[in-house]
Amino acid sequence: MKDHPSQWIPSGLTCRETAGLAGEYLDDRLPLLAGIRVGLHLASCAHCRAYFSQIVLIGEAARLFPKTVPSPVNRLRLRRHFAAQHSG
Amino acid sequence: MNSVAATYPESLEQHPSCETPSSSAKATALTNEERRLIGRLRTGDEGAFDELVNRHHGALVRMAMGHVADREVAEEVAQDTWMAVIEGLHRFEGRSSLRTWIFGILIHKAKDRGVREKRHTTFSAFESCEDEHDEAIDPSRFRQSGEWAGHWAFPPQPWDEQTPEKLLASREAVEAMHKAIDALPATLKDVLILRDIEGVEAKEVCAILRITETNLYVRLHRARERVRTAVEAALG
Ligand SMILES: [Zn+2]
Repeated sequence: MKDHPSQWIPSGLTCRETAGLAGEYLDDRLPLLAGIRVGLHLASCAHCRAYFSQIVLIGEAARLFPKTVPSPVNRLRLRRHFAAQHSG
Repeated sequence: MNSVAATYPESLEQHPSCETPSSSAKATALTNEERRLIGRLRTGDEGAFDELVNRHHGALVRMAMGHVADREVAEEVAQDTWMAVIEGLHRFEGRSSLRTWIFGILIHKAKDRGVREKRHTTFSAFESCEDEHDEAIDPSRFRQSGEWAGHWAFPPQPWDEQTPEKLLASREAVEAMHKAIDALPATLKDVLILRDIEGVEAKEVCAILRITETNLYVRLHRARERVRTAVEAALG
């Protein structure tokens, strides 16, 4: 099934323009009207919806990357240095 | 050995190029959670320090890698940063968030180390200029002419991996993500690590990197698109 923009209120944005605003839109940083236009475009365009959901998904996955910590030797040095600052 | 960074200025959020109003950032530089954490750190609570290190160490190393030659050096830069944090903590006044201050020290040290390694800094300056004008998404993915010019010619195909956990279960996807992130130039890597991996709010990323919000989103778009394209290719 293919969405057809003519069935919707036209946003006046191309897919290229919409995709370029993904970051600001997802952070709710667009001016009101621009945000509404992106919202309208997304409502009518499955491709841009797929694009936005991939951007969101990658961000969420990146946040779940396993945490890396200092090596045991470096950790020990840090703890000693930290303790030394508070021993006097 | 940490004399420069131990006195690293906190007032990053006052950088004039940041378009967002800095006064509100200044008034709320420290959250209650951070205030409590700093209180614990100042009383010498080692558990609190371990927590702080665990929370940010990975991102510090990754960011340092954008500026220095290899992982080993990046680990050294991160270690030096923590040493400077320990030494500077009693002077930290909370004019920026604790995280902004820590990442500020890291960037300062990583750039300094990068210059000493003769990875010339002007290169990244050129790189960032180029960033502002290049297309983030490959233009050939859009129709070039006709009624639907600017609309997708080769649209992204919906992925089966609809949750981050499922995406992370795909070895190919994870490898592609790591490779793509590691290959990013420092200017793009910094924003992606802070915003997406660390989950730092946009305003704070601007303060840490001393860039405008417009600049942040241009870079973020480019960085995310490179990672997205890599995952797209990996998932076939
Ligand atoms: Zn579209």
